[in-house]
Amino acid sequence: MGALQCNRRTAAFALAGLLLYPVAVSLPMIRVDQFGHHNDASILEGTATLLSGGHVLVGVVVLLCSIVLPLGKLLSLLTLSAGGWLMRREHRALTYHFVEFTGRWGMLDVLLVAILVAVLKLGDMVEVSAGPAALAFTACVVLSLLASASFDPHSLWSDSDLVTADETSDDK
Amino acid sequence: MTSKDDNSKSADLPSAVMRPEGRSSLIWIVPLLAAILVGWIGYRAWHLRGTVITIHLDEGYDLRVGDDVRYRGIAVGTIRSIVLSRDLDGIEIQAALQSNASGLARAGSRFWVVRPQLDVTGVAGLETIVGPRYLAVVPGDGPPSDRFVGLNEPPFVESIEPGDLEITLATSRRGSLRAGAPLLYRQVQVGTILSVGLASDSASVEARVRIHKPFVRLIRPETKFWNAGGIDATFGIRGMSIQTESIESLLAGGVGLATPPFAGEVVRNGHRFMLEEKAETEWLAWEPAIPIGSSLLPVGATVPTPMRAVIGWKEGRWIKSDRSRQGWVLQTKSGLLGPADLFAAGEGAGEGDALLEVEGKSIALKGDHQVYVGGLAVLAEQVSSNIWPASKKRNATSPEDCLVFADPASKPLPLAASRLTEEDGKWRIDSALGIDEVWHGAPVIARADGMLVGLLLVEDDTACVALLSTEKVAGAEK
Repeated sequence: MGALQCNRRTAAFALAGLLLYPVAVSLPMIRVDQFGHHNDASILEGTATLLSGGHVLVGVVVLLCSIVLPLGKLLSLLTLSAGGWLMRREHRALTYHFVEFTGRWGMLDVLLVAILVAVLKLGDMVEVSAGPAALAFTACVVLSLLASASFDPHSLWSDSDLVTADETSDDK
Repeated sequence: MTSKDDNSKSADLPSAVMRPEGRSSLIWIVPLLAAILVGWIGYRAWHLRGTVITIHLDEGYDLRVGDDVRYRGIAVGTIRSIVLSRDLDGIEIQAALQSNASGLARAGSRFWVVRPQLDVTGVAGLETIVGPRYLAVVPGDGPPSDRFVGLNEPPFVESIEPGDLEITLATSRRGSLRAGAPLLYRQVQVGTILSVGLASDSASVEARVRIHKPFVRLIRPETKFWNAGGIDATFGIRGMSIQTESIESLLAGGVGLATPPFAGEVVRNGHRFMLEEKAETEWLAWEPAIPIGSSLLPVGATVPTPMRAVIGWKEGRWIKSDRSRQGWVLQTKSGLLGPADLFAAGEGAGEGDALLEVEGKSIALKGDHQVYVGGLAVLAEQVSSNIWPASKKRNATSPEDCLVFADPASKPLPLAASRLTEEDGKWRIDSALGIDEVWHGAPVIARADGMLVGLLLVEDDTACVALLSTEKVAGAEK
């Protein structure tokens, strides 16, 4: 029952993160005012600018680290926590390895820190204010962290049928 | 509890110890909250996106994505994208107007790029030398629209005030006429040339001219217009004489105008006048007295022209000191109307007459002025030909909205009825208004009908409106 509980929590966090994800990457993240000239930048736009500007390597890295991998992580966590009916066990193990991997490489949270540092550093010269996506983005980061932290890997090998059997027999 | 060994595959795996936990369904509030947050942010983003419009311009003038669309000096939108138009004959600008400014997106709205401009009529767009360019807009009045063709030059009249008069001047050649040039009456600008072009049959040049509202009454059917641009130089045996309307019109071109006395009624919109090459000497000698309006008074109301008056007297028995008091007086048919203290020396005045100086005349005061209840007095003197008509006076009782006129060159002082309290025949003015002593004696005109109702008196930092009264103060005559 415990594993199920944990997974339910993971599923809730991952689902919430996934809901926020499109808003976080597509809406303006920061608004930069420089000498009266202002510019809105969203994560998607920024990546597209990098790629179209010829910075293929950097663009791909940013695309992977801040868009693809975080999304993959959230999706994997959601499917893992949904229980055994979605995936066969070997696949689940593989997926869990993927989550572990993306947790190391998905730089969503690091990106947030990087942006904050940049904002603080630019200070007087440039006025930087948060866009509507900043809130969604922060929430998304926190939810993704919570989801991976609350995930209980034990559920990978404890079958959901088994747990149900437990509940009915021993819980009283 | 431990999990039972039903499944053969999981049999070799170690069993986990499970702890029971609290209510689990509460956790689903988190995705619900996230959904609400997404909805809110999405709605706001959609709401703030505003109205997207497309503007075609011939020239971009270094306008960039992210620059403002401004109206009345504040940003009302942002430029989203700038691309070359498909047939290369201009640029297409996509701008997003804020939702509260979406009313600007209507047919007839004019857009232009504000950039630094320096020419003989003045300097414009200075802020864009250092700062970014921006797109300025003047709203139209047509139905909502999202496609516009921008202007290459700023339009000349940015705001069209109701009550302005538009007339047409026709002439045989363009001379120095140009859009934006001033119309000068006694070298004071009373209007602006809106556009210059050939008449539809190309037989003459026509200029569309806007007369600003306060000066509309100057334009009569007999009014003469002449080209005031450039220099008129005559060489003769006595040397050279140069005549020009003003330096401004010398450089920028302009139109002079003069109206003879008894020139007929005020003209209507669209009236056509001939523009003469130069002014005749006779025109320049015309001196009609045409009361020009104030935008705060009803149409046709006369604006009073009070005169500054200074009363001087000597004080002290042995050591004489000069004392004086100043204020405004108004010429009426029966004499000068003004505050009673302007027509009599203060207490403690020594021998010798007090002198009243007004309009360059010195009047020895002998105390023969007529004092009325309320602090007003009339001195039977005629110093000005600009007489305030007796028909434009009336008695007032309860406070009403008024205008106070003093210096003709400065703006009238509005007095709202709510700032006035009736007090034994006077209207006390709220001290919060802080009325300066310079207004002492200034005529007070009712907003409703343009009638003179009294004079403003300022004594010891308290101001009141002394109402006109026919009741004389008994024994006030010295």
